[in-house]
Amino acid sequence: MRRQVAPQIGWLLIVIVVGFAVVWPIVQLQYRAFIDGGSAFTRMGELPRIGDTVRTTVILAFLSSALAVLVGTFLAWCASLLPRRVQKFGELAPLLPLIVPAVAAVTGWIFLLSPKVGYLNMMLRQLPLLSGLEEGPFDIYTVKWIVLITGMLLSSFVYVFVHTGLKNMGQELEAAAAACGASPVRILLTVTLPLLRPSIIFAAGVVFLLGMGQFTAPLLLGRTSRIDVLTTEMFHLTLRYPIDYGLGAALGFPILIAGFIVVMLQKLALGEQRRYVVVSARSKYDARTTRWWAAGVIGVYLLITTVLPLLALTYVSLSPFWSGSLVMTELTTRHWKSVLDNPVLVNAVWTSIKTSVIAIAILIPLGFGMAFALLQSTRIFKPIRMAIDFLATLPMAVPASLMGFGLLFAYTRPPIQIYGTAAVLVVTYITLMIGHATRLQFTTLVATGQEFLEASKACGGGALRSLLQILLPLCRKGIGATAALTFVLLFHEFSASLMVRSARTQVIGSVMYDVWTGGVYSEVAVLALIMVLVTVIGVMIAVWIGGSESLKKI
Amino acid sequence: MQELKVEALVKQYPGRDKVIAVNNVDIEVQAGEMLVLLGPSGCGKTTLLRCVAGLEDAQQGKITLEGKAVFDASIQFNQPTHLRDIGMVFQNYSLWPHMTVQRNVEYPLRARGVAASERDKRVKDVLEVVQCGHLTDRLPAMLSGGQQQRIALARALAPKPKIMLLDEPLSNLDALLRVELRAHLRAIHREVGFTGIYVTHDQIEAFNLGTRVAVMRAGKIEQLGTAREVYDRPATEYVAKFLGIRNVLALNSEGGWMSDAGRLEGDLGILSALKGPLQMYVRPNAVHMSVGSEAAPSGGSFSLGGGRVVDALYSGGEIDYVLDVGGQTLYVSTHSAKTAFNPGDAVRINFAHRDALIYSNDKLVSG
Ligand SMILES: Nc1ncnc2c1ncn2[C@@H]1O[C@H](COP(=O)(O)OP(=O)(O)OP(=O)(O)O)[C@@H](O)[C@H]1O
Ligand SMILES: [Mg+2]
Repeated sequence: MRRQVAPQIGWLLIVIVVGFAVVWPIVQLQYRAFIDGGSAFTRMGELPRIGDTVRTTVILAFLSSALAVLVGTFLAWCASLLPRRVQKFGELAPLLPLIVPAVAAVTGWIFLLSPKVGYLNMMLRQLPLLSGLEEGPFDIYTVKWIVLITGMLLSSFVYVFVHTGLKNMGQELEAAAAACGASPVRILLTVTLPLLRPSIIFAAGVVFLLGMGQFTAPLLLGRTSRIDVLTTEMFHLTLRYPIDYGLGAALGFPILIAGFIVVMLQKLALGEQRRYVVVSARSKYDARTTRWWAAGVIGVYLLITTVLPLLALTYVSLSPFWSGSLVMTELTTRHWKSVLDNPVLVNAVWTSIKTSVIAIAILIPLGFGMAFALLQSTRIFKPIRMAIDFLATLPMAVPASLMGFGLLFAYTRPPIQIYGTAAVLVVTYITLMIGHATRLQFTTLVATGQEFLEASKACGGGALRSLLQILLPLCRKGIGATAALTFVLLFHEFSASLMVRSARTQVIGSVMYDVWTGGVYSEVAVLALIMVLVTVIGVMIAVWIGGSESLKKI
Repeated sequence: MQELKVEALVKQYPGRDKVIAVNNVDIEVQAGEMLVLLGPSGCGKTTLLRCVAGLEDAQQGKITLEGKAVFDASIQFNQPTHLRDIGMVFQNYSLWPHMTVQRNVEYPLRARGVAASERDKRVKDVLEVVQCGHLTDRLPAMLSGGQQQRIALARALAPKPKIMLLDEPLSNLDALLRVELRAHLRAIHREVGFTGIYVTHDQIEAFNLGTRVAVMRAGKIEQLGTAREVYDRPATEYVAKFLGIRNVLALNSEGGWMSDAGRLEGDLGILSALKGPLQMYVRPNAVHMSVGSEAAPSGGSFSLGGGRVVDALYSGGEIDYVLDVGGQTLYVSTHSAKTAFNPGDAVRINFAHRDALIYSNDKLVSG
């Protein structure tokens, strides 16, 4: 439309800039995999144990996501059975694992289940039947445990979606089926599960992608017994010089393809609008049956995923060294002091905070603009809206580790040679989170209702007035919560940070890895706990701004 | 003078089934007139209104407001909503929850840059008009449904827009309040004299409020006329049915006029110029009953014999009879003061020529 051409240019610019940031590194990287007649794939085939690596990647993706879907759905069902007195806390409890960064959780589990000196293993060996063992009975450095731990880490995500689905459904539909004479089993099969199908499919797709791109658990747990997945192979490449980007691209190629297929399947299975699961609070649970054992299940889950690893971390951080024995008398704050006195480590924490905050300051308005554009059916050209939709979805299909590898490639050479500066971290964070920031704010905008905006236009309010006086005040909570939650996710960021860090630009996740490789486990524990503490503060701010519902948006 | 002119407007929604929600619509609204868009759910009323507001992009046609084009598909021109100088009342009111009544109502005035002193006066006046002068400092959440509706109306009226667009503004209210606000709205329209389009699917609202009424069917205007015209002379069978004219007789002219309720009797002179098949619509309150043994009246009426009372429903001052006439179900409503019939009674029905709406090929041919 003639009048509309001018504003389109602004949107087009956003698409070009964001598109460049998100798509270009991947395209450029993948190009390297295919030049020279695909010799990179030949080199990939020649990697030692490449067969095992691919197999582990596939196993990890399928089994951990299957486990996550089962556990998460079961938890959501348990949460719907919670007695009223514990309901409020019980519904939030399965989200608490999200507060513990994956690195911290995995480290905690190593302290518990390391075959020789893991605390749980030591305790189990006290039992009469197992007393003959030298080590074990569990060995966390195996594919089995990598799958189990990854599955547990991912189950919280499934819980978020399925629980929200159950809540939004309310109790009335089930009550209506019961009034029609349906038995509980029939209700479950004919009403509850079909209605939850979109939530479950969506969640399954999300965790499958996360499982396939999983980096943290395989990296930390696989090293001892030389277990690798495609993303850890990619990371090993970055440690050598010169970096074989072609090979890295070849390693990332299968992940990229699988990611696209999953996102496509999700689209097909869910239709257009359902990809954005709208979170809205509706509590109609009243005449429901409640079970106390449900609280027990959630309690056990919380204990396993959060309490035990945190206890282990705390204990190790206060012990002189990690020996496996539990001696309370020798506790010391030495490691806390040494971490806080170490300028490299403190700097890394500050860099994490600073780069995250700068990234968020750019992400929030950018994501808001993109979310807003997605909602405009009349004023913005369809191709532009489709491009924005694509850019908001793409980062979901590309694991952070692969994205990090691509960004490392893109920013170590002209035209934008920013490797080695803090800017590369900011750009990386923006690239990783732009989809997230867009989708969360889209949810907020949808929940706010298009009509308030239309009412403003009908009253003669122009774009700026509508934005400042209507949209922003109404979305303030959602935007604030998005900012706080994005901060948490960035502070947890490990995979991409590890790829793009340099000696001069370290963040908390990357220095933690160095300390870990150096074997100073007590300091690893301290850093992990600092991560948790800062996260808790971030979440508290989010809850303070956006109410407890915002916790579920993670 | 025409305030609004819509020409050959076509709006098709994208998507798999490509619904044509507005299909080649032409309407004109004169200054001071209230045009009511009447039609069943899904016929495109809201879409048409939103096109006028500029909230939708139509594919074809032209919309002119006070002589200036605001939308013209041929030159790809669509003026943004906020520049059109309209007032709009949404079905769910859409009062901004974070602003007080005062702030809500003065918003369109601020947007138009009205000076503060003038603004306060206008807000006060318009709140007076909707009888909500005492609510200025409340937030929308602290208002009843009826009050919210009045404030939404005030907000739309405040800047004295060129045209008011009202989308089923009363449909979320309970029956009593609806009647009250309908009367109030009618009074405001008289008093302020605004030009408006009013969307509804309630025919009583339409005939009460509409200077003219446009009946819509699947994206098209089926009939456009004064309330009186539409009520008395529904142009097509669709309009007749939508207005709730329940008695329908299908007539054939093979050796006299046979209906599906038996042979049509009485004065058939006016049918002589017509050829079958015909459809005859009669309102229940235009049908008179007599004892079954009586003969058909001679002049000015049609008549059907062989009827039987199936049921009699007393509702206040009226009795609604359900009749079986030659296998066809017909309805009669009479004043209860008239002679009462009982279920099982044999009856004859008569109705005046002027009350029979006769359609041939879906065109009104009677009267
Ligand atoms: N955003 C949309 N996308 C696709 N189709 C739509 C959209 N909005 C409306 N429609 C379709 O367009 C047609 C007209 O819808 P519209 O809302 O104008 O009807 P209406 O007459 O206002 O109905 P009601 O009385 O129920 O409000 C319907 O068939 C509807 O399904
Ligand atoms: Mg409508």
